[in-house]
Amino acid sequence: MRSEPVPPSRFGLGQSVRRVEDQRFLTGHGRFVDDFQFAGQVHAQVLRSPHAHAEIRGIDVTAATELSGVVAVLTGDELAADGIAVIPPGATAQNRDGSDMFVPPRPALAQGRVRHVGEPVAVVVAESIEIARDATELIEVDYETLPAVTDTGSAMDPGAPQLYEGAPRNQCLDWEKGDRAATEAAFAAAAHVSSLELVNSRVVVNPVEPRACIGLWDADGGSFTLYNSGQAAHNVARTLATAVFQLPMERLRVISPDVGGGFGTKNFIYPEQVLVLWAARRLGRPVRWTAQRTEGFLSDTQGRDHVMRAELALDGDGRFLALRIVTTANIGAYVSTFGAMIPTNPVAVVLGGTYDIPAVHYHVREVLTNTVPVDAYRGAGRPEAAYAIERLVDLAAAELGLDPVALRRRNFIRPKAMPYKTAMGSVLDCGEFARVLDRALGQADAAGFAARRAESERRGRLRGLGVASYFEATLGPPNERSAVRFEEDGTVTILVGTMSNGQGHETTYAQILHQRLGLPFEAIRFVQGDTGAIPSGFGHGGSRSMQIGGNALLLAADLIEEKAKRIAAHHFEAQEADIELASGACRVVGTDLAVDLMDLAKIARDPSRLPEGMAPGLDAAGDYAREATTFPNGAHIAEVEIEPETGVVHLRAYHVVDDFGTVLNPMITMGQVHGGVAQGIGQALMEHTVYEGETGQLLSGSFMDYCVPRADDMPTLEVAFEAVPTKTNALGVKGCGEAGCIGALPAVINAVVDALKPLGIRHIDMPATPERVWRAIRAATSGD
Amino acid sequence: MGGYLRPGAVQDALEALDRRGLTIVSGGTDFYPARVGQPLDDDILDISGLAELRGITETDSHHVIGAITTWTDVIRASLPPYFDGLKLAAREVGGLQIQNAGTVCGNICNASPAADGVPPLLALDARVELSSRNGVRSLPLTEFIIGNRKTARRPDELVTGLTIPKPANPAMSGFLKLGARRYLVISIVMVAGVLERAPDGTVAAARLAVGSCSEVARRMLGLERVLAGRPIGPELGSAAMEEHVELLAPIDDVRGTAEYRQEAALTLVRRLLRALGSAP
Ligand SMILES: Cc1cc2nc3c(=O)[nH]c(=O)nc-3n(C[C@H](O)[C@H](O)[C@H](O)COP(=O)(O)OP(=O)(O)OC[C@H]3O[C@@H](n4cnc5c(N)ncnc54)[C@H](O)[C@@H]3O)c2cc1C
Repeated sequence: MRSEPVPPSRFGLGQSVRRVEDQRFLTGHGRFVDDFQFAGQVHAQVLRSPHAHAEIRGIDVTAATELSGVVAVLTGDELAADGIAVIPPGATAQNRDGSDMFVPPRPALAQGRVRHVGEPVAVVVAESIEIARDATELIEVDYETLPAVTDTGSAMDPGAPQLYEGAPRNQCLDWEKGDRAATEAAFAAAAHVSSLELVNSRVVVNPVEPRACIGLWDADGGSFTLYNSGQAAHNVARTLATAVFQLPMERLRVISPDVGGGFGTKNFIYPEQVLVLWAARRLGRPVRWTAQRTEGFLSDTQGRDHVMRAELALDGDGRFLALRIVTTANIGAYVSTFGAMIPTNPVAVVLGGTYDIPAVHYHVREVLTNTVPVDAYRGAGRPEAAYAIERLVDLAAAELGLDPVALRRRNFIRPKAMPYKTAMGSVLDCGEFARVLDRALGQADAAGFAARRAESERRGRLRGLGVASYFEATLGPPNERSAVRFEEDGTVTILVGTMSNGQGHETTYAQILHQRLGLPFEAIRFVQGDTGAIPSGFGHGGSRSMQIGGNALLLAADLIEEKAKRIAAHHFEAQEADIELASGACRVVGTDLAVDLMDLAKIARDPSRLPEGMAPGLDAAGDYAREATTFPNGAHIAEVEIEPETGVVHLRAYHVVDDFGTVLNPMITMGQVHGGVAQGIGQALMEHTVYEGETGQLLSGSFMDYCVPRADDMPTLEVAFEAVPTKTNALGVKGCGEAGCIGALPAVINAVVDALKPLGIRHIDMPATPERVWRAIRAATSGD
Repeated sequence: MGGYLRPGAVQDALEALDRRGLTIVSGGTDFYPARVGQPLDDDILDISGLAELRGITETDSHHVIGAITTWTDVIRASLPPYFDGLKLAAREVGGLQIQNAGTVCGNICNASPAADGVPPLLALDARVELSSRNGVRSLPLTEFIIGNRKTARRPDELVTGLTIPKPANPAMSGFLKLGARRYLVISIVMVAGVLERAPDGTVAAARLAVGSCSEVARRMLGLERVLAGRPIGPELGSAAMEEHVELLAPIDDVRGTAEYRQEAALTLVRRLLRALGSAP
């Protein structure tokens, strides 16, 4: 038999296969939580605190209850009476002295005190959402307002208002990592120290689809079903069942259908989920809730909000000796699911970036304030780390009169040094940071920048080039199970515990299976986000899905191949060793005897056609546990032009070169980078979360004042991949979902500061709005 | 829910207004967003059916912008260059959907300090035509808008249109806006201007207005006087001085501080004059 070379498949790995889910999304056939309707359903509206900090002296629900069409008005009293437990954090941390951090109780409805504007105080359930809204207006709450604290930097000041007795000076965690003594010694011996006060500004996440959930109660089975616009069905089910409602996990099924964006914020356990389930059980009717955009601003977890003092020690040759960071992280009024964890290890794991730094010490204090809780937001900890080191490197270069690119090159961890263990204990298996940066510099025509700057100067504009070498680590839970099921109708279903909420997983997982087993791409179906259909899963986050879920799918495919070959051998009465799998069929080598995998799946259902003792079915599940953390990295180069009279920053060019390891679908990956960079540019230049100091009101509470970037605010993004595949997983992937957001913050701000450097400006905080830039220029030029 | 009336003739609308207080709704793009979350119990007079008030007409001495003329109508109309500033403003009102529904008259009747239409209309010396059962009166735009969201309209009156005099000399115009971004956000400062060219190449007349920096957009009368008679050229920009923007009284808010607005207003005025001065 002639062996033909297999043509590269249109649907194989490395191909820019069009997203199969987009047909559904673009034609209005996607099904989001709010699209599900149930007979007998009622609507919930949450009454939220108008005050940032207040004592609740009483709640009068009489008028609301009497409104026709109102089914129930519930407050924290009923919640307590029904024994509904508080929402626990999903992860906590220990203080430096070994004691546990302070975790305040977080009931789904406020009990006695409210601690941020937007905190749920009561819930009205009614026959229509309009009635429910009208009824919330009739609830009378007697508040005694208290002084509020919202500012991160001053939350620990002795005179600051206190949120909890158990958290003196509002501090709930005091955490450190690294060798303090070695770091101090290195600083003492340094030829130069660069230091900077940095703010990694707070952002409102704003996924396009608002949060939404529907609670169902099955009285006969004594079990709940929650439809939830979420990113982590199993974790939500586990926490709500076992901790909040004190039920076995099997009695609470969570279904997350199509989800319109999450960026982290939909990973978490929220009061509204508790409320719809609890109300459904009390009323015996389905209870639905969908956030309005304003509620999203006031109750979706927000991102970042770190104030840092960052210091870099260098020797006389410009080599990095040590890095020291002291952070105050504002985690809001309560400890959200991963809110306390994000400022700890997820920062530490990449602290020091792509550089060889012998000593690093990281100290973080978390504070509770009268603001919306903060939790993981795209990048979660790693943008904070990347921003700090990349700003410091530029600052050190400026102070020492060195070229920032040359200073980076001098200090990069060299490929020859791999595997390399960082001062924070991360072990890098591979990475070629200089190669990636050089390619980006070429792509951005860095050599031509001086001429472009001169041209801008002639027009009275300031031009800047900002370089960032970002360094990420893929995080999130280390396990995942991916399963493959051959259906009677000739389709094949992939079932995963990860959770696409816009990342195109329906396509990439199918590409993996198609490539590995040769199954027809069009026959592959996809199931995710349903604890009733999938036994275990750890959801979305940490850029982990392909690394963990994708490799689990490969393991499932291995099992399928093994079994298919045995069945084929039995079928053809051949030796197992003589069976090969190619193009989706098992073939007896050297003959034209072949049987399609789809036909084998049918054969496998019939016990009489199987080898002795073999269990029927070709279905398989692969369990994968992360063998090693992967380290996506890359270079971002931003070029800006600034109008000195108004401070307006124009992004003129933006270049990215990423090392994501093996790229499974370049088009989808590119889309992830574009979205991430857009969010990073938004944080760096536009998105400004403003809480009014004394009242704690969120002043930037709508899109009229909170400025998210739109297409016309973006320059053309030039993105290229420079793959250095990792050998720590079979797919060779490193992860790509968060990277854009990590590189963009330092690249944009470095560019802005580079443009302003001739005026003697050494730093500007995010967002670099026109007014901030104008102020910096004015302060620098007026000499005060 | 209150009453709802959508007459097809102006006379019917005026009679209805004469009978009782009604809330006028035109494109609804200011009205509805301001009512989100509130019961809609006003008695409404929807004027979108008054087809005779749509479009821009021309007489020997004037252009008339009918009450229900949308921003898109303005953009598409063929108009002399001194309307360029109004057209530029039209392109920056909200997005396309807003421009298709929102009207120029709605913008001035709403009287927001940040209304994009007001500075260019001030620079055009627009007058507001107010009709009631008892007749028609006409007010200069400066006397029509009397405060933040306050106008001189009587409850029985309907704004039926805006009249814009034809300048005595060839004229050009412009509009500049500064915001956190160009579209879909409230501006920090905007500036509009019309420059009339005398036969000898000097400024025959200049009209400039700044919005978003005071309760009501302001004409820069002092600066206008300084400009008159100067040769038209890019150096017109340097005629604008700090003293000329002192009449502004901007506020501090999340979008910008007063100090920044004042300074940015001066910069934008200078830029606009430089651009108008350099135009061919
Ligand atoms: C998303 C969005 C973005 C926007 N962006 C901008 C922007 O960039 N710049 C800007 O300036 N505006 C903006 N607006 C505001 C609005 O679109 C404009 O002011 C528009 O011109 C209003 O016209 P309208 O016909 O929709 O007014 P309506 O909402 O119908 O009416 C506004 C007010 O004027 C009164 N009124 C209307 N017509 C008459 C009349 N003929 N006689 C008497 N009273 C009348 C009404 O009673 C009401 O009080 C935006 C609005 C939205 C929703």
